[in-house]
Amino acid sequence: MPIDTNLAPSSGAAHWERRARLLAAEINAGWWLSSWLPTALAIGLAGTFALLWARWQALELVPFAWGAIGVALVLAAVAAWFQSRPRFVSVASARVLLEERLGLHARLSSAAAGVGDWPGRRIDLDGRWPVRIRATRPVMLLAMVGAMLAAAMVIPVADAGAFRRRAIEAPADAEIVSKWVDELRREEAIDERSASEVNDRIEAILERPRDAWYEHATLEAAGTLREQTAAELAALARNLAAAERAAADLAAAPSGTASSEKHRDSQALAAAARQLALGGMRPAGDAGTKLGKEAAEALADLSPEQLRELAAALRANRSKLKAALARAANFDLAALGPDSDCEACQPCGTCQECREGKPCKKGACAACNRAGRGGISRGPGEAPMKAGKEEDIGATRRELVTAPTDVERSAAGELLDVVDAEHAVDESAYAGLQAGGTIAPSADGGGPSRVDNLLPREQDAVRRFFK
Amino acid sequence: MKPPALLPLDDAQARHAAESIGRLRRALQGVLFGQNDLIDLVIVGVLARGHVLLEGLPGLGKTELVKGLARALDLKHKRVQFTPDLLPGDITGNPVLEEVDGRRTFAFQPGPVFANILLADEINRASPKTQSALLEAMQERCVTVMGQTHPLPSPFLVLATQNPIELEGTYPLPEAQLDRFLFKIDVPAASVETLERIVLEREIGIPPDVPCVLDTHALTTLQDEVRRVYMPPPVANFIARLVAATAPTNPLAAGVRYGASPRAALALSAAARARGLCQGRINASYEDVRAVALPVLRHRLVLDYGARLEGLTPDGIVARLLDAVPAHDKPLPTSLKAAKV
Repeated sequence: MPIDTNLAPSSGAAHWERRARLLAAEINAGWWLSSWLPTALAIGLAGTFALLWARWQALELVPFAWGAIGVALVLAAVAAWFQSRPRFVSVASARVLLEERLGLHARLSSAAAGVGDWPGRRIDLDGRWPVRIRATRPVMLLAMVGAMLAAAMVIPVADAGAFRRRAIEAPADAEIVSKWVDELRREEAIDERSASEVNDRIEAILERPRDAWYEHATLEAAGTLREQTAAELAALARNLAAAERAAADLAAAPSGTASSEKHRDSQALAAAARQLALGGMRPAGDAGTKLGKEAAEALADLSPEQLRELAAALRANRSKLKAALARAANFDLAALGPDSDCEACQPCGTCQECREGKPCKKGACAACNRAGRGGISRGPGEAPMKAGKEEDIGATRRELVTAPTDVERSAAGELLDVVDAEHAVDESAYAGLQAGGTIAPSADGGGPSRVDNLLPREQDAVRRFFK
Repeated sequence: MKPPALLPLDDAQARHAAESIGRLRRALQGVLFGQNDLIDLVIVGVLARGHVLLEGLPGLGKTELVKGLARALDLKHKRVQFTPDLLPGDITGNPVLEEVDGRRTFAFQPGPVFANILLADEINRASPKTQSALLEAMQERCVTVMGQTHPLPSPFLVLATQNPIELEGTYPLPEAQLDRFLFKIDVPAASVETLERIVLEREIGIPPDVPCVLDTHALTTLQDEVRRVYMPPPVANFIARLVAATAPTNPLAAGVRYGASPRAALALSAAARARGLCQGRINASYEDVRAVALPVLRHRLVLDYGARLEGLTPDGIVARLLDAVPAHDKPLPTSLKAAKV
């Protein structure tokens, strides 16, 4: 080992102290790295997820995520420095490593203590540095962190907004019914209790897990709700029309009319009022209030003026009903019956009704003149029904019967069940109105076939069952 | 009160001392062929004022080495052949009844221990009681007989030889006495080349001619200079960690029942200083400590029964400790790799 002993001691001291400080710094950096790298890896992992989350949520958050990662790395570096500080080596310890590696026989330590001279500067240090850096592990860890963060910026990430837009929507039928109820409420066409009942049914369907909203059972329940609500609204419209007609008839009856006829008219009005009270949908506003107040017997004692007011209120309620459902869309307005304001209906001027000032039935349009709208002339007795072709059946019935399009999955009862719909009346057998509005209750063909024929107690039982 | 600090040596003094020691080494190399390491250790032991225990089979030249050392240093030496019936007084000396001027008094008759170099040959053949007679002489360098203390000449050192304890008719030395030996040196068998040289250059019954290379004063000076060899704090720290590592609680010292004592640390320090001076240096170093650790520690480690069953030896444990205990006191991080020294 060539030792230059001619150099001044101070020169050697500076040289070796500098080397010792360098070595100590290198070792301490190693300790710091050992402490910092695992944390950096964890921060890199968390930062990767943070970047992915930021890109998913909104691109504006990405710079903040980068900032947070940088701050976390810096804080971790500071914490690692404090954590590894107890393991840091001093310059004296580094001197020991140097003198042992270079075979200086503790000469550096002795010289530092003032005993003997410092070794010369010409000691060859090439390849004899006391420590070698194992760069593989730190470099790999840092590369891993960088790769993770880079991957977080490169990996395609969907927009959270798009994800939210793809959120599962409620079944269409439930939405439609909800819209009907909203419009009806806004128009005040039905009473609040009826609207709440329908809303409760909608909520019962939507309370199911979103994933189950498009299962067969849910869709079927929503469809049934829509059909049931439509049928109830149609029944409400019919009952309003029947009550209006009965009130108008009663009001238009001349003063000399026989008491038996007036009694029949009042009975019809009372029946209509009862139907309105028992229906799934009840009218709101004046019509409902007025009909609810009057007893069936008292209806006959109403003055013509009062009866006209009642008729007007019922007509107004029906108009609201129709207007609300027209706005809500997805409702077959034809199911509500003919509109009294129908322009297609023109008085013929020859029939008894025209002569008596009543609404003409001969000149009514096809919709207004349909069977079951009070124009049945057969009776008293059973309605002469016949089994017609499917296309002859009313639209509502056809829809109901053919609704389960997937025959493979349909139970036999779904195709052959008795549905809440109109009778398939042989309309060709219609021969004009003979005794409209005077049909005995035992032969009120054309009315609701199932529910309306049940006793009130039975109707309540059925309603409770379906509820 | 703290003793006054010794003035450290300078390089010139160290070089001069190394030259003197070199002459002694060469003189002994003319006595004992092929045992340079043994000779170096014996010289280190003498310079460190320590007692040396030589262990080896008979006929390996132990006695010749001691005789040669005494002649090379011009020291008075005595030889005692330890036997089972040897009594303590046979070593220390006995009071003898004398008549002087008509009065009978006990006069102390010094034993063979009163010499500069005492060769205790086959020390483990004597009974423990007789072995213990050397305790005071080795530690206090004086002998007390009948309440009277008699100082031993200076320098005084015991060079004992012993046969391996597995041989019949031997008594193991007590730990207290073993601890007083600075070194326990295993004398290896001679190699073929050494034997050939012995055959060519020696004859039975004719002692080798050994020149006197140092006188008593020079030896004492050298021993004083050993004390002035600087012990750097990192080296002292290394000695302390090495000795502490022999504790049975240390996993590295598994199998050790009793570890080395603080006297072992002092012995390591003195031996390392002496070795440093032998090499012409003004300070002790880690290399010196490593070189003398085995002869200093091997007889101070008491192994447990399990370790003996497993075939562990003190030499193996010391070697393991030397590998495991680094010169620097703090570990290196895993991201750095210590270069092989």
